[in-house]
Amino acid sequence: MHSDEPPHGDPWLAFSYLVSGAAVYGLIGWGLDRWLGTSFLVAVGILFGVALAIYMTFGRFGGLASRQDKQS
Amino acid sequence: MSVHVSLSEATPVAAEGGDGGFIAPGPGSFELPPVFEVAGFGVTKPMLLLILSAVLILAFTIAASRNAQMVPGRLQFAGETVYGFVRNTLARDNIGSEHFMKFVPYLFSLFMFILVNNYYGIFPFLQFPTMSRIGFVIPLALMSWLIYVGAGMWKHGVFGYFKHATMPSGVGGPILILLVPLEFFSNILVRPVTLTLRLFGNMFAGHLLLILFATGGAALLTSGNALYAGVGILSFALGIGVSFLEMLVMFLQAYVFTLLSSMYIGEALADEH
Repeated sequence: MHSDEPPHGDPWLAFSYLVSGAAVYGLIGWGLDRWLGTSFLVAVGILFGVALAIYMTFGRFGGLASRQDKQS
Repeated sequence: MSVHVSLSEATPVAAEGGDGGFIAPGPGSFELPPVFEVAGFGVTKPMLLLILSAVLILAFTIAASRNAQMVPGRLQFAGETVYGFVRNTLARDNIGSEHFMKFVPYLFSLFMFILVNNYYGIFPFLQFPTMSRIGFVIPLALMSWLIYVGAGMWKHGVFGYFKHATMPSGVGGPILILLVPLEFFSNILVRPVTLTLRLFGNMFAGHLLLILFATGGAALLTSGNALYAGVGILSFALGIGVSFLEMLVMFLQAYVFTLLSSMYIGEALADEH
């Protein structure tokens, strides 16, 4: 691949991350709700999943580049 | 009986235009009755259109590639333009120059197939986009899914591919434990679903709009009320506008489906990042 190009990828990646984040962690929160008899964990899970998805999108498109440089 | 007559006489406005027996189109408009039956198995219009699309594409590609000249004729030029577009813009740019030729036959057929089936939606007398029935879209998405997962496993090995597909790039550290399930869900499970829903939803909604403007316009025009008839003409004009929009959407959806398929293949084949 050409190194001077911006990091290419699926333009729907951010959408797919957000959906997955809300779905996966929302489902975990819902499961915990069922298990513990509470009702707020599903909301916490969805928000947590979406936050992780945004973080991941940042990382994917180079928003955490300084951190990556430190590691590699 | 006499009660019914007196009621309709007492409310001329409602009887004149009100609903006029107009039934708004809905998902039921896509469930066409079988054209004919073969051994108790109903063959519907989209099935016939699907077969017709295969015949049309075969005829086009054979006619465009037979007697190929150094200086191409009109048909050969058209065929080579489409083929070159899929090969260079979609396949080579996304998969990389090393492996792209293996996937060009699939991507070219996929693009032509979706394109022809989408354009049925605005073609007079055919007027049904096959891909507005989700049953025709799911196998296409599954095929793309199998091909990109298969290509990844061929390149990296089964476990290597799962590692490749679930390790998010650009982040590191303990947060990976939280991100890996997300990446797995996003790359392996969500992708075929969004591929399906994007194509199906666009074709379904576009066709529904066209039906609504056409049947609604006709109902308003024949309602016998001059004001309603004016709105009916507006409805037809909007229907024509939406048809032009659909011409764009039909191409774009075929393009996006093929583009994303080739991007997924390219990503599955990419070297470790």
